[in-house]
Amino acid sequence: MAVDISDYVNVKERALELGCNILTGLSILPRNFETATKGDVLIYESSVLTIKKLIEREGLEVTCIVESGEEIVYRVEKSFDWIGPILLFTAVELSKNPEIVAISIGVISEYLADFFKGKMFSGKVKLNVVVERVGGEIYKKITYEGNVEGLKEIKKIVEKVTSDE
Amino acid sequence: MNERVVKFIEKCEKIILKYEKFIFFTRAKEYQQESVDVLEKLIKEAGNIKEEMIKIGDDDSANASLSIEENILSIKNKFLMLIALKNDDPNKAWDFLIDSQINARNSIIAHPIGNNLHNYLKTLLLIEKILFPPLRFLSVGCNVRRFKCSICKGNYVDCNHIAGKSYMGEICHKIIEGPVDITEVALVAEPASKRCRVTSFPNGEVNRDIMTWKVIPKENTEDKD
Repeated sequence: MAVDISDYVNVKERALELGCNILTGLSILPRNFETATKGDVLIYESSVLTIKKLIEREGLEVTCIVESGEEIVYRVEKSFDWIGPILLFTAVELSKNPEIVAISIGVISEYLADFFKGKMFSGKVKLNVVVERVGGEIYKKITYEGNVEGLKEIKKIVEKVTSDE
Repeated sequence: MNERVVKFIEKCEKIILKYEKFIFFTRAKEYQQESVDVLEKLIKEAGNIKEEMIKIGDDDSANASLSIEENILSIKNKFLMLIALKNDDPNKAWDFLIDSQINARNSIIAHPIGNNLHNYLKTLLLIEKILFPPLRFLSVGCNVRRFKCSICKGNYVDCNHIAGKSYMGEICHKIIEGPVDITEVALVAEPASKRCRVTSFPNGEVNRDIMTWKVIPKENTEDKD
């Protein structure tokens, strides 16, 4: 299991620059959110479609940010590993619903237990989580690469990242 | 579970027990071909039972029928792999082996009665490593705008189905629709599909088949206008 914590762009400012929808609830960011310029096609991991449906079944609202009026493009990678979408947890959402991280990661873990069923090896899970620190100016990205069992550590890491000075 | 399905499972277990002695490489090809013929009839019967369960709306029994169907298909493809090897066609044998793996996995996914196939799948992996040379596979990356649901045929974004789950005897898949922009092709050791593989390589002035090492005749490798 490998976990990396790094600084991330100011999501609100980036969204404004790109002319994207306003973020509400749990959001999913495109893979090129940091680097895209206005007019570029925003691209999502293809796993977003299934994960969005599963999280919404838990009663959570999930939005994919996209440039107003633009269609969404999905990246399909025919590899053995599972590449998850970039989940964004805003400070407001975390304070409104402290269990939102556990619920979302739980849904993903349960899905992946079935996804890897019958596969010879347990492929790697790659998942990025972006967390807004209280105050709204600082965003941190947690990059997880490992097995399904290790995903449960993400909740603790999110708590640490949001509480660190 | 529907009684018809339960009785069919018992029938399959008896037949598989009878023919599994032929699933070793050394067993005579004619007995293996006979096993394939018997299993084909069983697969057809499994399909008919599945359709009956779908008609009466029994989701659990339909999925169980699918699981059995895929189980038998897996065994049949394993026999076909052995026959292909004896016919000196290892490329075909590889495809049958991969199909056998896919069928076994589908059986596990379709219904919990398939859960006993995990060890069987491990033997199929061992066969890969022992009988075939190391292979290199291709993995494609592409940008897609739309997926169709294989169950309801609607836009996957809008439907309630989940890819990888079974519904009334059918496993849901996301089917790519519309224009596709290929962004990359990579050589990988563990791909999503082991049918996507490098089949030949240049060796001096000739090309050789990776499986057999045989020289590939020039007319098979030159571009045709």
